[in-house]
Amino acid sequence: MKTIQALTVAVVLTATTTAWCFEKDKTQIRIDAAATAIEATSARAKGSQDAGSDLDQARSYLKQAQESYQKGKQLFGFGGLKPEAEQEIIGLLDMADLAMVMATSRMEKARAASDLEPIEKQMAVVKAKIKIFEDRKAELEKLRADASKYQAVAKEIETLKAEKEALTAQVKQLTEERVAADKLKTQNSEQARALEEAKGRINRLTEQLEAAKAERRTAPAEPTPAPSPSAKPAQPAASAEPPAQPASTEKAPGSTL
Amino acid sequence: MNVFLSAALFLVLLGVGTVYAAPADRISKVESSVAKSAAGKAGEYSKDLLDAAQASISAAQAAARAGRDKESQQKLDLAELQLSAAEVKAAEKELIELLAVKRAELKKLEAQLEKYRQGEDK
Repeated sequence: MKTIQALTVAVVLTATTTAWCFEKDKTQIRIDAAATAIEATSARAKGSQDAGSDLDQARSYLKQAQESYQKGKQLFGFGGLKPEAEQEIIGLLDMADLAMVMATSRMEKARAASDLEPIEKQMAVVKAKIKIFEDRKAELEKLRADASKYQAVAKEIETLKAEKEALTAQVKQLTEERVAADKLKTQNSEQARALEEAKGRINRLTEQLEAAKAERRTAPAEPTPAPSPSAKPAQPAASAEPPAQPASTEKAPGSTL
Repeated sequence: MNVFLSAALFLVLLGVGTVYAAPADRISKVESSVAKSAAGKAGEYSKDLLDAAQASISAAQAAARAGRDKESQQKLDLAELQLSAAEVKAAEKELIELLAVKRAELKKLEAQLEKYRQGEDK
């Protein structure tokens, strides 16, 4: 009976101690894991200024957790952690994890920024080259548009030139016709003047003839001498003027001839 | 003597009141910071961390109501750290997204340039 009682007490004590140890190990394991993670992150962050302060903060939280772990043990270090201490340690380890998340995030951001820089430089170079091509293309389009515009203008100029030539020929023809008409007009005027002169002479001669006739009527009759063979027939009296030039075939209006 | 004792008691109560008022001020300050972050980039890229910060604030409020000031302060520290982590994470994700966009844009530009070059060669 006593043996059974002793055995029962031993079993209970062993089980309790094992449970406490397990509990203790779980927290210690987590603390150790946090320490390992911080060291690993520190190794990756070597040279990175962005993550330094976050890692220092993580180390600070870890140290506080370790101190709380030491202070929070029950039964002179052989028991489990006090519940408040365990809560505090979990909180501190959570904050240490967050600090490491921030450190990692800052490192990733710095890496992305360093990757972005050459990409943006390359983009600027490529954009500049594309602009050259596009400017060239725009210039070519403009030249093509200008060329077609100038072709249309050139055709129009040719048309106008042809029209000008035709008009010039017309003007020349009209000028020649005008000159001819002026010449005819002058001739007409001269002929009209000549006609008038002839008329005048005719009138004068007619008057002279009438006068001569009138004198003959009034003068006594005289024997008419026998005409000498060398005598020429009587010429018309006072005809000092040359015979009228042959007039134009056209009769002047109102002519008495 | 009575006046002295009354004054001392008043000062003690004032100090205690100040200590008890601090968590409430801090809680409202952290809450407004979380709300402000939620309206910005962190709300888009780090919603999970902001939700965790809000949960920490709720836990701090509960601890403060129960009189556990130390726990309340720790929860508020955690909430502030979660808020900072949300901002940092949001900045990282935004830059990574920008990097992906720029890479795609560069690829498109290089294809366009190659097309122009082939046109020139023809």
